[in-house]
Amino acid sequence: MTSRIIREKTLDQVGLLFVAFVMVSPVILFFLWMISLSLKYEIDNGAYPPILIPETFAWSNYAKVFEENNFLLYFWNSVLVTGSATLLALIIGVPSGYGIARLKAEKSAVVIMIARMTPGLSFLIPLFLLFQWTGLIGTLWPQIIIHLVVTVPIVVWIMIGYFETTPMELEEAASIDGATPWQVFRMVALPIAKPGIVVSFILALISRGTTSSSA
Amino acid sequence: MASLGIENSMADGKAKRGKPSRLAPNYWPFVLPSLLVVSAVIVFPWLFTLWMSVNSWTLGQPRTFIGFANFVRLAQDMRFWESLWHTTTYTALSVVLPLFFGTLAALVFDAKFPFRGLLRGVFVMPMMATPVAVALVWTMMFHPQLGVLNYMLSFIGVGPQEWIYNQFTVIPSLVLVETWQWTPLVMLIVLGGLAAVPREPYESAEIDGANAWQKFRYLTMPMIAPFLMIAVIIRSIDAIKSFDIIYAMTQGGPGTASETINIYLYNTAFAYYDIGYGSAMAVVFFLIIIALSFVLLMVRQRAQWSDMEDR
Amino acid sequence: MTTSIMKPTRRSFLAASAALGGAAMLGGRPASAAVDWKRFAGKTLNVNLVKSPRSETLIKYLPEFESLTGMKVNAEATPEQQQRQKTVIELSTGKPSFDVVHLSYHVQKRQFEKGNWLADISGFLKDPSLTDPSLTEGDFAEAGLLFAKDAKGVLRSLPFSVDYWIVYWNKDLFEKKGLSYPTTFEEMVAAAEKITDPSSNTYGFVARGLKNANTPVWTSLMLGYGAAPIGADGKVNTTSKEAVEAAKLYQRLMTKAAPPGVSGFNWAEAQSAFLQGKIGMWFDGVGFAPPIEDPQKSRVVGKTGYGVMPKGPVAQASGTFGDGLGVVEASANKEAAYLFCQWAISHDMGARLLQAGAGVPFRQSILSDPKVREGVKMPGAWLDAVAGSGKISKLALPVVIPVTEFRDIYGVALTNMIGGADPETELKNATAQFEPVLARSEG
Repeated sequence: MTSRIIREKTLDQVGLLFVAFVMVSPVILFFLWMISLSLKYEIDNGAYPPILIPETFAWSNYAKVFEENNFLLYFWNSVLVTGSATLLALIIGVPSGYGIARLKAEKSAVVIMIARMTPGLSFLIPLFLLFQWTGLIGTLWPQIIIHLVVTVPIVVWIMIGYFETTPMELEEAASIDGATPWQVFRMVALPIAKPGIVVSFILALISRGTTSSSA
Repeated sequence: MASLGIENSMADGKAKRGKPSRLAPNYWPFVLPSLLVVSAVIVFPWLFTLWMSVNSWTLGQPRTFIGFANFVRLAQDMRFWESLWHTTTYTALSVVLPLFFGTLAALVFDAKFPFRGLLRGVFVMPMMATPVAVALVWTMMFHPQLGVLNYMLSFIGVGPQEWIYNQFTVIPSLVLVETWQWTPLVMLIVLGGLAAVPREPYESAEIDGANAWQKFRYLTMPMIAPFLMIAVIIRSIDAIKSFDIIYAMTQGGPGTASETINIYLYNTAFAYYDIGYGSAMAVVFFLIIIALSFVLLMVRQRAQWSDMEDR
Repeated sequence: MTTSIMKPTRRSFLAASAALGGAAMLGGRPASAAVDWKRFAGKTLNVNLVKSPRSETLIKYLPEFESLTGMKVNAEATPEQQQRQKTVIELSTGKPSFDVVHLSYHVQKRQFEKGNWLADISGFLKDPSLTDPSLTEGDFAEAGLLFAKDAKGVLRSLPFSVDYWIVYWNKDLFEKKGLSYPTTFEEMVAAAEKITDPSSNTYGFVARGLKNANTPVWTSLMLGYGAAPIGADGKVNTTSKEAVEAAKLYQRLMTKAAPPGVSGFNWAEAQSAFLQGKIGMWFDGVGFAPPIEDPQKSRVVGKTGYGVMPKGPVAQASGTFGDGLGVVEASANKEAAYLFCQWAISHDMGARLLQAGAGVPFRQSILSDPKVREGVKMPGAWLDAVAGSGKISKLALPVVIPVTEFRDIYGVALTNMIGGADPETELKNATAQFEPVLARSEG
């Protein structure tokens, strides 16, 4: 009896493992092939029948990435852009989420969400003109600001959810004691909402703007 | 609607400013910075786009006011209607397929089996790959003469396919890539939902002799429905705006077979430099997106009500 | 300028000798003391280039220009499409961030002229204090001058690199079928069909089938029928007998002798198929010799023939495209920017371009210089094909503003033809679509 259950359970597990492996296989295929492409000379990349492991490895492909395209500079720039856009989004977005949650001003939240839905392409020309007038062209600011369009709504929306669930009693007590709204936010609300800040930080960090490629 | 609400509450905010009251603290200063940033980056471009949509302006040439002529032209533009159709099929498929496979994957990864963590980690990798790399590698795999996909098909006796190089298979092939990349997102959302599902109902259902499908249909489905809805909303808005993958892989081709509104909009504004017409297209496209999200939100609310009635 | 030549001061003497030194570094040619290369020393120039082997050559040797002139150059090279968008948007706002712009004549010529974005450099070319005496208008190939001058004959840019379309052919595949390189369109079709053998994954012909990219293939074929898509009178000529015949030829080659999926091929897919030795003939621009002769990229090294476009029923013509370097009208450093353009198309820079197979200079004096020819690393047949094409060169795309729309609209028609649609009907539909576009932009 028990042995049958154990046997069924192992069968189930093997079956699940098999199904999971089938699901993962397209991913493995793609990344294997990507690695293979990156390690082959062009002559082998177009070969038919395809070659998975070449006779000679083109390690130079990687060296070229660093040499030719100013790879490190681009990498550093993108770290700067994503980093500052995320930090700014937190600085602006977390208090906003708090304010909207307390005001129950869901409509402002909708407005902020619309920013996320706007087709990114329609920003490009007007924003270019705007940045040109303000003399920001040539700096990293345009990219950071465009990123903000994507990151701020994410942070705001997630934070609204968190602040709505935090208890009001503590805040009320603090304000009766004479704390200003800012102090209440800083001392009472913010510490409670820490997990929310972490979540929105991560999501803001990995979210890519639709405009990033063309900007 | 929304904007009216904002104006009213802004007015409230102004009235309250300067005389802080202990009972009703003023929260507008908290909200203002983000509203300002978003408005600065969104409102100006939107006014600009709206104004341009009633003008005829090609870069390098003088601009003239032409009223609604751009919209009339749009209504008569077969290429636009075609691109609307492509957008519809592309979006529908790119929502339904990841939703199906993502839910399936979530159910599998919710169970316990060896190497689960590792396989789950591998499964979400496509989400993190950059669109350019994804497009490049898939394009090479799709090559009708030299691609590895046709090579693998030859083993199971299937003749060479033309994938993205054929007007009839291009959208399904692009959706394949989109599904490959975004199924993990749906999986993650649904997995979060499954984690919150209680065990007890399943035990009693098993005692009642329910089979796996019945358990899924009558227990799991209703409980993860809100999460599925969130996945549908996120996927729809992302898929309808999909640009990078399509542009990098086919540029809307062969011919215009995979030209979605976003691609046509891009071509109009940045290849033909027809800013006026492109702006009109952007306005219409935006209205379509708003309408879609509105419908989805309504469906979501109705679903929640019906849930409540069931209970 | 002239005054400094008449009354040499210590400073201009120094500058002149520095220029001598700089010119000596450029390859030891006797430099003209008259060009005062150091005149703008200390200035900074911003140069906006299209990323290509041609701009890479410029960027590689940029330090030479900087030490020759004492100027600082910020050169930015971005992929073609991005560069076009960026430059056009910036130029149309009237405050571009660059002094020198790299433009594709076959796409942007009319657009740049209509926008008045490029400075008139006719005067600079005639000014001996700015221009080396070896650089004269007469030295440019005819197509170059056609490209660089606007409708009124004013020089707006310096022709940098010319692109003739030639036929790359796989000698092995030809030999196997006992064929020789075709001399006429008919022979070309016959050879392509003979080589085609789907069972061995081998096809006789490949060219661009992807919308937009494919249009120059058709217009180049049309030149062989003695016609251009838009006549000299500005009338659209794309439903004519010649246009239809050329489209039928395109359809036949691309359906009977080209690999499956060709309607989605741009040059990259065509190139990888040809490099793997699976293609008899590949019709495209002249710049693909370096990958073909690179053993890390190609299986047809030393097995490739380079042919001039075969003769059509009416004419033999090589479709010609090109790019140039222009001084931006809004620039505050026009003369300094002009010096950069001049350096970029100088004898030595042109020689380097040609010798690496990175591009073909418009200047005849470079192409005919035996010393330069000796140093060319590509096969002799390639150079012969270049020279041969130069003799029958014809502009292959209409000089209008909406070139991109032209290429897109007719490109879709051509893609449809690969799918089996009737050429005459497709061209009729495309023309009906394009005529209003043309009227809107040129009117």
